[in-house]
Amino acid sequence: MKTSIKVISIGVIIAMTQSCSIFKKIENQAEDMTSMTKGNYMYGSEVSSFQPCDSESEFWVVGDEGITTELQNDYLEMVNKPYEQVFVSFRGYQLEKANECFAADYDGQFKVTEVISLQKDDICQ
Amino acid sequence: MLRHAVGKNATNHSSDVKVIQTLLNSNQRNSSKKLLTVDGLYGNNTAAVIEGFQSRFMRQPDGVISPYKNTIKRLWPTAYSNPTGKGIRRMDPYGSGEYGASRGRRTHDGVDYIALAEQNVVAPISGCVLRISWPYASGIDANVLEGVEIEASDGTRCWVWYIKPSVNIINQVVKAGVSIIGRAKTLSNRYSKNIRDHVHVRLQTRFGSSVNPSTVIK
Repeated sequence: MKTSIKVISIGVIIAMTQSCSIFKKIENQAEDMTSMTKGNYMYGSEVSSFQPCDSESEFWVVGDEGITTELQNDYLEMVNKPYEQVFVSFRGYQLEKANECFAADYDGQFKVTEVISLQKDDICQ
Repeated sequence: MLRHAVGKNATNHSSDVKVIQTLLNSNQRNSSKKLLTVDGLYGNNTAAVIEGFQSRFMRQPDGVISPYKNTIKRLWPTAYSNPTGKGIRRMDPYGSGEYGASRGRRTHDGVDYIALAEQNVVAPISGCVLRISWPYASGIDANVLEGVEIEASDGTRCWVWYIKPSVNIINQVVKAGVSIIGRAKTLSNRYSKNIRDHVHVRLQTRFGSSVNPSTVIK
């Protein structure tokens, strides 16, 4: 009886320790996921693209309507012609590749949670 | 346009049977024969008309119509048509509507046919409307821009975007150049710099390869 209580207690302690480390891991991942990413951005009919600096991958930009609408409007005010490249700092995280729509033509999706800066100067160099 | 086979000892799903009954009726419209009731039920009448149709080109009709096979391809041949009756969108501030035109670092996977807002849009391909399709997955564009996905009898898929689809269009059998699938929407309230209103047509083979619509839509 005593032995089985001991085994159960040890099991509970191990489980608690592990679940704590899982929580920490999730927390860290969430922090990583919303870290700041710099790159270039393009918008226009059928295009909403973000390419992080030093990356070959190109992402379709998604986000809450308020954030993306403001981003698109600021972009259109800044450029002289559609699909002109501008440089951005986003807080956000990558999502998996879309299965359909224009987004499916890209390597993945990038969810923008905050637009930190939008400028014409190349901040990737 | 068929998910499963219809006919003798086949699965005979109601939606598939309805498609076949509609196609068989459309094929018999000019004859004096009685049309089938489109009820989605596979019975003796439907079986007889299937075999009658197959006897035109098969020595021994098997009474089964399978997806992408000879009978369905003969019953509703893949055909194409210009969806708006107008030309291809040439260069405007947002680029050209031709296949392969630049879209930033990407290319335009489809052809844009000029449209007048609210004009009727006809099916660019003969087939069956599978679903409503949204060209944009999220954001404000996702709420306002939509279209339809059509599958032809040979499995060719066609997306027609920037239209307001007709009511109850899903699962409807459509004929290229004849069936109205919706009305064109204006894009000028989404893209301020003088974009020309148009309907976007994207085509893919049954196996997912992109097809230039202007090679088949004349």
